[in-house]
Amino acid sequence: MTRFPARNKVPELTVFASLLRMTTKYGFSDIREALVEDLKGAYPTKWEDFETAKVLGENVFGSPKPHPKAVLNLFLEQRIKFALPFAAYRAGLGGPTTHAVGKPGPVIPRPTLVYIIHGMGRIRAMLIFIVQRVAYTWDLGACPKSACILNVCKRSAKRKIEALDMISEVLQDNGGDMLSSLQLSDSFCADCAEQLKYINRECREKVVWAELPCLLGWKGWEGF
Amino acid sequence: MDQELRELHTSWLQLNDEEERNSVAEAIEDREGEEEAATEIPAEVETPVAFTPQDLPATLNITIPSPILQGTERSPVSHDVEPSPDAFANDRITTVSSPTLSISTISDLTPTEFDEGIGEGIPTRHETFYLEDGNVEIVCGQTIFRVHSTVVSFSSPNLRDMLSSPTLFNTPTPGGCPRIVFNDSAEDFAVLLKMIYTPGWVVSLQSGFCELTR
Repeated sequence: MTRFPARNKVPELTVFASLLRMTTKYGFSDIREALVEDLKGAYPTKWEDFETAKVLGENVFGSPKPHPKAVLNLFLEQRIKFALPFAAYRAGLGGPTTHAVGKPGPVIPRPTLVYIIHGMGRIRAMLIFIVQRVAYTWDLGACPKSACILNVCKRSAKRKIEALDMISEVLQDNGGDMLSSLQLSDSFCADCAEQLKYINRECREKVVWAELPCLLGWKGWEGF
Repeated sequence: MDQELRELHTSWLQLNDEEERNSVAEAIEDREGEEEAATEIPAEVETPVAFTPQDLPATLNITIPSPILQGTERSPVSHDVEPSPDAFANDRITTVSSPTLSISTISDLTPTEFDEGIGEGIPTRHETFYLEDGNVEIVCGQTIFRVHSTVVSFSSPNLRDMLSSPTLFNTPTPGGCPRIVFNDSAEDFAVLLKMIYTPGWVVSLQSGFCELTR
Protein backbone atom coordinates (compact mmCIF):
# COMPACT_ATOMS: atom_id res chain seq x y z
CA MET A 1 0.00 0.00 0.00
CA THR A 2 1.33 3.44 -0.87
CA ARG A 3 1.46 6.06 1.78
CA PHE A 4 0.45 8.98 -0.42
CA PRO A 5 -1.74 7.50 -3.15
CA ALA A 6 -2.85 10.83 -4.62
CA ARG A 7 0.73 12.09 -4.83
CA ASN A 8 1.75 8.95 -6.70
CA LYS A 9 -1.03 9.31 -9.24
CA VAL A 10 -0.37 12.85 -10.42
CA PRO A 11 1.96 13.17 -13.41
CA GLU A 12 5.41 14.63 -13.13
CA LEU A 13 5.93 17.88 -14.98
CA THR A 14 7.64 16.35 -18.02
CA VAL A 15 4.74 13.97 -18.60
CA PHE A 16 2.22 16.74 -18.03
CA ALA A 17 4.11 18.95 -20.51
CA SER A 18 4.11 16.16 -23.10
CA LEU A 19 0.40 15.65 -22.60
CA LEU A 20 -0.30 19.34 -23.12
CA ARG A 21 1.88 19.57 -26.22
CA MET A 22 0.49 16.44 -27.85
CA THR A 23 -3.15 17.09 -27.03
CA THR A 24 -2.79 20.61 -28.45
CA LYS A 25 -1.02 19.48 -31.59
CA TYR A 26 -3.19 16.50 -32.41
CA GLY A 27 -6.55 17.96 -31.50
CA PHE A 28 -7.48 16.26 -28.23
CA SER A 29 -9.01 19.49 -27.03
CA ASP A 30 -11.35 17.94 -24.46
CA ILE A 31 -8.50 16.14 -22.70
CA ARG A 32 -6.36 19.26 -22.79
CA GLU A 33 -9.10 21.41 -21.31
CA ALA A 34 -9.70 18.88 -18.55
CA LEU A 35 -6.00 18.76 -17.68
CA VAL A 36 -5.73 22.54 -17.60
CA GLU A 37 -8.87 22.74 -15.50
CA ASP A 38 -7.25 20.44 -12.95
CA LEU A 39 -4.51 23.00 -12.43
CA LYS A 40 -6.94 25.59 -11.12
CA GLY A 41 -6.82 24.09 -7.64
CA ALA A 42 -3.10 24.76 -7.36
CA TYR A 43 -2.99 28.00 -9.35
CA PRO A 44 -5.97 29.93 -7.98
CA THR A 45 -7.10 33.24 -9.41
CA LYS A 46 -9.38 34.24 -6.56
CA TRP A 47 -8.39 35.02 -3.00
CA GLU A 48 -11.05 32.70 -1.55
CA ASP A 49 -9.67 29.78 -3.60
CA PHE A 50 -6.14 30.64 -2.55
CA GLU A 51 -7.06 30.65 1.13
CA THR A 52 -8.71 27.24 0.92
CA ALA A 53 -6.25 25.59 -1.47
CA LYS A 54 -4.78 22.32 -0.26
CA VAL A 55 -1.86 22.31 -2.64
CA LEU A 56 -0.20 25.32 -4.21
CA GLY A 57 1.97 25.89 -7.23
CA GLU A 58 4.45 23.30 -8.41
CA ASN A 59 3.57 21.01 -5.48
CA VAL A 60 0.65 19.75 -7.54
CA PHE A 61 2.99 17.78 -9.80
CA GLY A 62 4.37 14.37 -9.05
CA SER A 63 7.85 13.53 -7.90
CA PRO A 64 10.46 14.80 -8.63
CA LYS A 65 9.06 18.17 -7.63
CA PRO A 66 9.68 20.54 -10.55
CA HIS A 67 11.37 23.90 -10.31
CA PRO A 68 8.86 26.78 -10.26
CA LYS A 69 10.71 28.35 -13.17
CA ALA A 70 10.21 25.19 -15.26
CA VAL A 71 6.49 25.32 -14.52
CA LEU A 72 6.32 28.99 -15.49
CA ASN A 73 8.12 28.27 -18.76
CA LEU A 74 5.62 25.52 -19.55
CA PHE A 75 2.67 27.82 -18.85
CA LEU A 76 4.21 30.50 -21.07
CA GLU A 77 4.80 27.99 -23.85
CA GLN A 78 1.30 26.56 -23.61
CA ARG A 79 -0.33 29.94 -22.94
CA ILE A 80 -2.14 28.83 -19.81
CA LYS A 81 -3.12 32.37 -18.99
CA PHE A 82 -4.91 32.03 -15.69
CA ALA A 83 -1.94 30.32 -14.03
CA LEU A 84 0.71 32.80 -15.17
CA PRO A 85 0.58 35.43 -12.39
CA PHE A 86 0.74 32.90 -9.59
CA ALA A 87 3.37 30.81 -11.37
CA ALA A 88 5.43 33.98 -11.84
CA TYR A 89 5.07 34.77 -8.14
CA ARG A 90 6.22 31.25 -7.20
CA ALA A 91 9.17 31.57 -9.57
CA GLY A 92 10.13 34.88 -7.95
CA LEU A 93 10.05 33.65 -4.37
CA GLY A 94 13.66 32.50 -4.45
CA GLY A 95 14.84 36.09 -4.78
CA PRO A 96 16.91 37.81 -7.48
CA THR A 97 20.05 35.77 -6.84
CA THR A 98 18.37 32.56 -8.00
CA HIS A 99 18.01 34.09 -11.46
CA ALA A 100 21.67 34.99 -11.80
CA VAL A 101 23.48 33.93 -14.96
CA GLY A 102 25.28 30.65 -14.49
CA LYS A 103 22.91 29.31 -11.86
CA PRO A 104 21.78 25.79 -12.67
CA GLY A 105 18.17 25.20 -13.54
CA PRO A 106 15.61 26.50 -15.99
CA VAL A 107 15.94 29.97 -17.46
CA ILE A 108 12.97 32.31 -17.65
CA PRO A 109 12.60 34.45 -20.80
CA ARG A 110 14.21 37.82 -20.20
CA PRO A 111 11.14 40.09 -20.44
CA THR A 112 9.26 37.95 -17.94
CA LEU A 113 12.28 37.75 -15.66
CA VAL A 114 12.65 41.52 -15.57
CA TYR A 115 9.04 41.85 -14.48
CA ILE A 116 9.40 39.20 -11.81
CA ILE A 117 12.48 40.73 -10.20
CA HIS A 118 11.12 44.25 -10.46
CA GLY A 119 7.62 43.27 -9.34
CA MET A 120 8.67 41.23 -6.34
CA GLY A 121 10.78 44.16 -5.15
CA ARG A 122 7.87 46.54 -5.52
CA ILE A 123 5.47 44.25 -3.69
CA ARG A 124 7.93 43.96 -0.83
CA ALA A 125 8.46 47.73 -0.73
CA MET A 126 4.72 48.30 -0.67
CA LEU A 127 4.29 45.85 2.17
CA ILE A 128 7.10 47.40 4.21
CA PHE A 129 5.58 50.84 3.84
CA ILE A 130 2.13 49.76 4.95
CA VAL A 131 3.22 47.47 7.75
CA GLN A 132 5.55 50.02 9.29
CA ARG A 133 2.86 52.69 9.21
CA VAL A 134 0.37 50.32 10.78
CA ALA A 135 2.77 49.16 13.46
CA TYR A 136 3.76 52.67 14.51
CA THR A 137 0.31 54.21 14.15
CA TRP A 138 -1.46 51.60 16.20
CA ASP A 139 1.23 51.52 18.86
CA LEU A 140 1.45 47.79 18.75
CA GLY A 141 4.47 47.74 21.01
CA ALA A 142 2.49 48.85 24.04
CA CYS A 143 0.73 45.74 25.23
CA PRO A 144 -0.26 46.00 28.89
CA LYS A 145 -0.02 42.26 29.53
CA SER A 146 3.16 41.28 31.22
CA ALA A 147 3.34 37.84 29.54
CA CYS A 148 3.31 39.37 26.08
CA ILE A 149 6.55 40.00 24.24
CA LEU A 150 5.12 43.35 23.19
CA ASN A 151 4.79 44.56 26.78
CA VAL A 152 7.47 47.19 26.52
CA CYS A 153 5.66 50.13 28.08
CA LYS A 154 7.97 50.35 31.02
CA ARG A 155 11.09 49.58 29.07
CA SER A 156 13.38 51.90 27.22
CA ALA A 157 12.43 53.62 24.01
CA LYS A 158 15.13 51.60 22.29
CA ARG A 159 13.47 48.33 23.30
CA LYS A 160 10.16 49.64 22.08
CA ILE A 161 11.59 50.45 18.67
CA GLU A 162 13.13 47.00 18.54
CA ALA A 163 9.74 45.47 19.28
CA LEU A 164 8.16 47.51 16.52
CA ASP A 165 10.85 46.45 14.08
CA MET A 166 10.21 42.87 15.03
CA ILE A 167 6.51 43.30 14.30
CA SER A 168 7.32 44.85 10.96
CA GLU A 169 9.63 42.04 10.02
CA VAL A 170 7.17 39.39 11.11
CA LEU A 171 4.43 40.96 9.05
CA GLN A 172 6.28 41.96 5.94
CA ASP A 173 8.53 38.97 5.37
CA ASN A 174 6.76 35.91 6.57
CA GLY A 175 9.36 33.30 5.73
CA GLY A 176 9.95 34.98 2.37
CA ASP A 177 6.44 34.21 1.15
CA MET A 178 4.39 37.37 1.34
CA LEU A 179 1.18 35.46 0.71
CA SER A 180 1.55 32.82 3.40
CA SER A 181 -0.44 33.20 6.60
CA LEU A 182 1.27 34.43 9.74
CA GLN A 183 2.68 31.86 12.14
CA LEU A 184 3.17 33.44 15.55
CA SER A 185 4.95 32.00 18.53
CA ASP A 186 3.37 31.72 22.01
CA SER A 187 5.28 34.77 23.18
CA PHE A 188 2.50 37.05 21.90
CA CYS A 189 -0.63 37.44 24.00
CA ALA A 190 -3.92 36.40 22.43
CA ASP A 191 -5.02 39.97 21.71
CA CYS A 192 -1.77 40.99 20.08
CA ALA A 193 -1.62 37.76 18.06
CA GLU A 194 -5.17 38.33 16.86
CA GLN A 195 -4.39 41.89 15.89
CA LEU A 196 -1.23 40.92 14.03
CA LYS A 197 -3.01 38.12 12.20
CA TYR A 198 -5.74 40.50 11.19
CA ILE A 199 -3.23 42.98 9.76
CA ASN A 200 -1.41 40.16 8.03
CA ARG A 201 -4.60 38.82 6.44
CA GLU A 202 -5.70 42.25 5.27
CA CYS A 203 -2.29 43.04 3.81
CA ARG A 204 -2.09 39.72 2.01
CA GLU A 205 -5.54 39.99 0.50
CA LYS A 206 -5.97 43.69 -0.17
CA VAL A 207 -2.41 44.65 -0.92
CA VAL A 208 -0.29 41.73 -2.10
CA TRP A 209 -2.96 39.63 -3.84
CA ALA A 210 -4.67 42.64 -5.38
CA GLU A 211 -1.48 44.16 -6.80
CA LEU A 212 0.41 40.99 -7.61
CA PRO A 213 -0.58 40.38 -11.26
CA CYS A 214 -0.09 44.00 -12.26
CA LEU A 215 3.28 44.33 -10.55
CA LEU A 216 4.52 41.09 -12.09
CA GLY A 217 3.64 42.32 -15.55
CA TRP A 218 0.21 40.81 -16.22
CA LYS A 219 -2.99 42.68 -16.81
CA GLY A 220 -4.88 40.78 -14.15
CA TRP A 221 -5.45 37.37 -12.70
CA GLU A 222 -6.38 36.03 -16.13
CA GLY A 223 -2.83 36.54 -17.37
CA PHE A 224 -1.96 38.58 -20.44
CA MET B 1 -9.16 49.40 10.60
CA ASP B 2 -10.24 48.53 7.06
CA GLN B 3 -10.49 52.19 6.24
CA GLU B 4 -7.03 52.89 7.60
CA LEU B 5 -5.48 50.07 5.57
CA ARG B 6 -7.24 51.27 2.48
CA GLU B 7 -5.99 54.81 3.01
CA LEU B 8 -2.44 53.59 3.56
CA HIS B 9 -2.60 51.52 0.42
CA THR B 10 -3.89 54.49 -1.53
CA SER B 11 -1.24 56.76 -0.14
CA TRP B 12 1.47 54.29 -1.07
CA LEU B 13 0.21 54.13 -4.56
CA GLN B 14 0.13 57.93 -4.77
CA LEU B 15 3.66 58.15 -3.44
CA ASN B 16 4.95 56.01 -6.23
CA ASP B 17 6.12 57.78 -9.25
CA GLU B 18 3.37 58.01 -11.84
CA GLU B 19 5.93 57.67 -14.58
CA GLU B 20 7.05 54.31 -13.26
CA ARG B 21 3.53 52.94 -13.46
CA ASN B 22 3.23 54.27 -16.99
CA SER B 23 6.48 52.61 -17.97
CA VAL B 24 5.16 49.32 -16.61
CA ALA B 25 2.05 49.65 -18.75
CA GLU B 26 4.13 50.44 -21.82
CA ALA B 27 6.43 47.52 -21.18
CA ILE B 28 3.45 45.20 -20.80
CA GLU B 29 2.27 46.21 -24.24
CA ASP B 30 5.74 45.71 -25.69
CA ARG B 31 5.99 42.28 -24.17
CA GLU B 32 2.56 41.24 -25.41
CA GLY B 33 3.76 41.75 -28.94
CA GLU B 34 6.96 39.78 -28.31
CA GLU B 35 5.17 36.91 -26.64
CA GLU B 36 2.49 36.62 -29.24
CA ALA B 37 5.14 36.35 -31.90
CA ALA B 38 7.31 33.97 -29.89
CA THR B 39 4.72 31.57 -28.52
CA GLU B 40 2.47 31.25 -31.52
CA ILE B 41 1.17 27.69 -31.61
CA PRO B 42 -0.01 26.36 -34.94
CA ALA B 43 -3.74 25.78 -34.81
CA GLU B 44 -3.54 22.74 -37.00
CA VAL B 45 -0.91 20.22 -37.83
CA GLU B 46 0.05 20.22 -41.43
CA THR B 47 -0.79 17.06 -43.25
CA PRO B 48 1.50 15.39 -45.75
CA VAL B 49 1.07 16.37 -49.32
CA ALA B 50 0.41 13.69 -51.91
CA PHE B 51 3.73 12.40 -53.13
CA THR B 52 4.71 11.49 -56.65
CA PRO B 53 8.21 10.39 -57.68
CA GLN B 54 8.53 13.12 -60.29
CA ASP B 55 8.34 15.64 -57.46
CA LEU B 56 11.76 14.52 -56.31
CA PRO B 57 14.48 17.11 -56.65
CA ALA B 58 17.48 16.33 -58.78
CA THR B 59 19.61 15.62 -55.71
CA LEU B 60 18.27 14.34 -52.45
CA ASN B 61 19.80 15.41 -49.20
CA ILE B 62 19.48 12.07 -47.40
CA THR B 63 22.14 10.74 -45.08
CA ILE B 64 22.09 7.03 -44.33
CA PRO B 65 24.61 6.22 -41.57
CA SER B 66 27.25 3.84 -42.85
CA PRO B 67 26.87 1.29 -39.97
CA ILE B 68 23.58 0.29 -41.52
CA LEU B 69 25.37 -1.17 -44.46
CA GLN B 70 28.30 -2.63 -42.53
CA GLY B 71 28.22 -6.21 -41.34
CA THR B 72 25.18 -7.09 -43.33
CA GLU B 73 24.99 -9.50 -46.19
CA ARG B 74 25.03 -8.08 -49.62
CA SER B 75 21.71 -6.54 -50.32
CA PRO B 76 20.40 -4.83 -53.39
CA VAL B 77 21.50 -1.47 -52.00
CA SER B 78 24.91 -2.56 -50.76
CA HIS B 79 27.46 -0.80 -52.88
CA ASP B 80 31.07 -1.54 -53.50
CA VAL B 81 31.73 2.16 -53.53
CA GLU B 82 30.89 4.78 -50.94
CA PRO B 83 27.13 5.29 -51.17
CA SER B 84 26.16 8.70 -52.32
CA PRO B 85 22.82 10.44 -52.04
CA ASP B 86 22.35 10.04 -55.78
CA ALA B 87 22.94 6.32 -55.57
CA PHE B 88 20.23 5.99 -52.98
CA ALA B 89 17.94 8.13 -55.06
CA ASN B 90 18.29 5.61 -57.85
CA ASP B 91 17.39 2.85 -55.43
CA ARG B 92 13.99 4.34 -54.85
CA ILE B 93 14.56 5.98 -51.51
CA THR B 94 11.82 8.51 -51.31
CA THR B 95 11.32 11.34 -48.92
CA VAL B 96 8.65 13.94 -48.67
CA SER B 97 9.19 16.72 -46.21
CA SER B 98 6.90 19.34 -44.85
CA PRO B 99 7.53 21.72 -41.95
CA THR B 100 5.97 19.26 -39.59
CA LEU B 101 6.25 15.83 -41.12
CA SER B 102 8.24 13.81 -43.57
CA ILE B 103 7.55 10.44 -45.11
CA SER B 104 10.47 8.20 -45.82
CA THR B 105 10.58 4.77 -47.35
CA ILE B 106 13.61 2.71 -48.23
CA SER B 107 12.30 0.20 -50.61
CA ASP B 108 15.08 -2.35 -50.86
CA LEU B 109 16.27 -2.65 -47.27
CA THR B 110 14.84 -5.41 -45.13
CA PRO B 111 13.98 -4.55 -41.53
CA THR B 112 16.88 -6.62 -40.24
CA GLU B 113 19.32 -4.93 -42.51
CA PHE B 114 18.07 -1.54 -41.45
CA ASP B 115 17.87 -2.10 -37.74
CA GLU B 116 20.82 -4.40 -37.11
CA GLY B 117 23.43 -1.73 -37.32
CA ILE B 118 22.05 0.01 -34.27
CA GLY B 119 24.47 2.49 -32.85
CA GLU B 120 24.80 6.16 -32.26
CA GLY B 121 22.52 8.22 -34.46
CA ILE B 122 20.50 5.28 -35.69
CA PRO B 123 16.86 4.98 -34.69
CA THR B 124 16.14 2.36 -32.06
CA ARG B 125 12.87 0.64 -31.30
CA HIS B 126 10.83 2.04 -28.46
CA GLU B 127 10.76 -0.49 -25.67
CA THR B 128 7.01 -0.27 -25.10
CA PHE B 129 5.44 1.02 -28.26
CA TYR B 130 7.14 -1.08 -30.89
CA LEU B 131 4.18 -3.37 -31.32
CA GLU B 132 5.06 -6.34 -33.48
CA ASP B 133 1.57 -6.56 -34.95
CA GLY B 134 1.44 -2.86 -35.73
CA ASN B 135 1.14 -1.79 -39.35
CA VAL B 136 2.89 1.56 -39.43
CA GLU B 137 6.22 2.77 -38.10
CA ILE B 138 6.58 6.28 -36.78
CA VAL B 139 10.03 7.73 -36.25
CA CYS B 140 10.48 10.50 -33.72
CA GLY B 141 14.07 11.62 -33.34
CA GLN B 142 16.08 8.46 -32.82
CA THR B 143 13.17 6.27 -31.76
CA ILE B 144 10.93 4.07 -33.87
CA PHE B 145 7.38 3.37 -32.78
CA ARG B 146 5.33 0.66 -34.45
CA VAL B 147 1.62 1.09 -33.94
CA HIS B 148 -1.76 0.25 -35.40
CA SER B 149 -2.80 2.90 -37.87
CA THR B 150 -6.51 2.25 -37.25
CA VAL B 151 -6.18 2.72 -33.49
CA VAL B 152 -4.08 5.86 -33.80
CA SER B 153 -6.22 7.30 -36.61
CA PHE B 154 -9.43 6.65 -34.71
CA SER B 155 -8.28 8.79 -31.81
CA SER B 156 -7.48 11.98 -33.69
CA PRO B 157 -8.52 13.52 -37.02
CA ASN B 158 -5.09 15.10 -37.35
CA LEU B 159 -3.36 11.75 -37.03
CA ARG B 160 -5.90 10.20 -39.38
CA ASP B 161 -5.02 12.76 -42.05
CA MET B 162 -1.34 12.07 -41.58
CA LEU B 163 -1.74 8.32 -41.81
CA SER B 164 -4.12 8.34 -44.74
CA SER B 165 -1.65 9.53 -47.34
CA PRO B 166 -2.35 7.42 -50.45
CA THR B 167 1.32 6.76 -51.17
CA LEU B 168 2.06 5.67 -47.63
CA PHE B 169 0.70 2.15 -47.85
CA ASN B 170 1.60 1.51 -51.46
CA THR B 171 5.35 1.44 -51.07
CA PRO B 172 7.33 -1.52 -49.69
CA THR B 173 9.26 -0.49 -46.59
CA PRO B 174 11.99 -1.78 -44.27
CA GLY B 175 9.75 -3.18 -41.55
CA GLY B 176 7.20 -4.46 -43.99
CA CYS B 177 5.08 -1.47 -43.13
CA PRO B 178 5.16 2.22 -43.94
CA ARG B 179 7.51 4.44 -42.03
CA ILE B 180 6.65 8.05 -41.24
CA VAL B 181 8.92 10.61 -39.65
CA PHE B 182 7.27 12.99 -37.19
CA ASN B 183 9.03 16.03 -35.81
CA ASP B 184 7.84 15.40 -32.24
CA SER B 185 10.22 14.32 -29.53
CA ALA B 186 10.19 10.61 -28.69
CA GLU B 187 9.22 11.35 -25.08
CA ASP B 188 6.24 13.44 -26.13
CA PHE B 189 5.09 10.88 -28.67
CA ALA B 190 5.41 8.00 -26.20
CA VAL B 191 3.13 9.91 -23.84
CA LEU B 192 0.65 10.43 -26.67
CA LEU B 193 0.65 6.71 -27.48
CA LYS B 194 0.25 5.83 -23.81
CA MET B 195 -2.76 8.13 -23.74
CA ILE B 196 -4.23 6.50 -26.85
CA TYR B 197 -3.57 2.88 -25.93
CA THR B 198 -4.46 3.16 -22.23
CA PRO B 199 -7.47 5.48 -22.03
CA GLY B 200 -7.81 5.00 -18.27
CA TRP B 201 -4.39 6.46 -17.68
CA VAL B 202 -5.35 10.12 -18.21
CA VAL B 203 -8.48 9.59 -16.13
CA SER B 204 -6.35 8.27 -13.29
CA LEU B 205 -4.05 11.28 -13.58
CA GLN B 206 -7.03 13.58 -13.33
CA SER B 207 -8.39 11.74 -10.32
CA GLY B 208 -4.93 12.12 -8.73
CA PHE B 209 -5.10 15.88 -9.28
CA CYS B 210 -8.60 15.95 -7.79
CA GLU B 211 -7.59 14.00 -4.70
CA LEU B 212 -4.64 16.27 -4.19
CA THR B 213 -6.32 19.61 -4.69
CA ARG B 214 -9.92 19.17 -3.56
